[in-house]
Amino acid sequence: MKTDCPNNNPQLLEECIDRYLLNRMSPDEKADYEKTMSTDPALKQQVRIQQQLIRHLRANENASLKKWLQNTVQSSRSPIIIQKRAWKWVLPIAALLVMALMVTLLIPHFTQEKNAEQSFTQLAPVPQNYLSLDLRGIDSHSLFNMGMKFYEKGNYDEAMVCFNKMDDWEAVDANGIFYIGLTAMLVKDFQKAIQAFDSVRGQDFYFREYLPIYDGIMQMELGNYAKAEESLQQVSDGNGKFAPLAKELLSKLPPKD
Amino acid sequence: MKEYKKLYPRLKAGDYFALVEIRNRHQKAFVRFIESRYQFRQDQIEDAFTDALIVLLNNVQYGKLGEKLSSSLKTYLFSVGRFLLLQEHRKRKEFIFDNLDHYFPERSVDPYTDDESSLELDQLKASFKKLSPPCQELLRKFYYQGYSYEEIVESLDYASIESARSQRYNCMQTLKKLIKKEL
Repeated sequence: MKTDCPNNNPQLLEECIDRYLLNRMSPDEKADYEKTMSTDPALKQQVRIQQQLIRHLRANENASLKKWLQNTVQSSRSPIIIQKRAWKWVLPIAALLVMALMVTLLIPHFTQEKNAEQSFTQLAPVPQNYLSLDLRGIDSHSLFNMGMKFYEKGNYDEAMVCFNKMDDWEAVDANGIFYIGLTAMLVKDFQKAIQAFDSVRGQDFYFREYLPIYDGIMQMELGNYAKAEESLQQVSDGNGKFAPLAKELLSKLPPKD
Repeated sequence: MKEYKKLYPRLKAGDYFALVEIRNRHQKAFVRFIESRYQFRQDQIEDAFTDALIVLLNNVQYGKLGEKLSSSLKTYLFSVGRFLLLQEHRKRKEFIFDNLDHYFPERSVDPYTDDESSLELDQLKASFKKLSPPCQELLRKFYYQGYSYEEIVESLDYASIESARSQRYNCMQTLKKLIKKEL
């Protein structure tokens, strides 16, 4: 079988290379193409360059996905992965655990004063002074960068403290505001999240893919089931990557009266 | 095997939250499994498991894994994760996903591995960021998520397959020019 790959049309030539590299050729077509390449050094070189580009594009995306996964899973606060019914139990249990931890920390404080500070330092997951940082006089852009550093480490509360201190959001671009909204959503400050997402709506393909599912989840968390249904239905009908999740969430909405 | 079969359509569609669910289900057991046999830190083990999840996603999206797995999802992830941990010190992280040939039974031998070109990941990363968001999204869907032109037309609202094809070509040309500037 001969491949239909004219080398006088750059676009068609590149499409052929893509089909070869993305395994979209039949075995016969592929064998034929490899035979052509073996006698055409220029084509071989073009395939090499395209192959490297694709590898790097994929590696770049994998690195972004890994970062996202690490942030999402480490926070364990995402409203997406905690079902509504389970959440009702998580809060009281978490409160009990916090109280138990406080008692554990306070008893040695009263009994062994010398060792108390050291014990707390060892047990505290983040340096204790983060939330009381004096952020006065720091410009919005620097506050945003500081917040993003906390965000990248999964310290969303601290990130939000920095973002809340920003005088205005004009110091950052739409992508930055999107991350402020995302952080607000993760710390369950839904009003702030909605405000941020509304201000970047329609500005980027990237946002267009994420915002409707976030809207649905937040409206669900706020108990606005009609609005949640509207957003989730839109995602579900769109057949994008979040459609299966939207369908699953739609099935969890309480029945209408 | 039922678990994988159920998750397969979501992985194929690029639903990253499916990975979060898998992680929540199996990562703790993986940490225990590794800790009982090797001396790695917990963060290293978790990091390897995250990489294993991405390998799984890549293999599904690029068609290297079909609807059926020969083992359970857990066994597959544990094997990949352990392999990645043991290779950690030998390979550069950025290319780890391309060096797992023995997990890709359908993958043919690549006759052009003697790559002499000097493009670095950082150069690509910097240039890719400079592309317009629609171009980034189009290239991401086509090359990373393995979308066909038909699927791209549907998901990104292009007028026709022809316009999606010419837009992909234009975006790649722009990217190549940007990379040349970076070099």
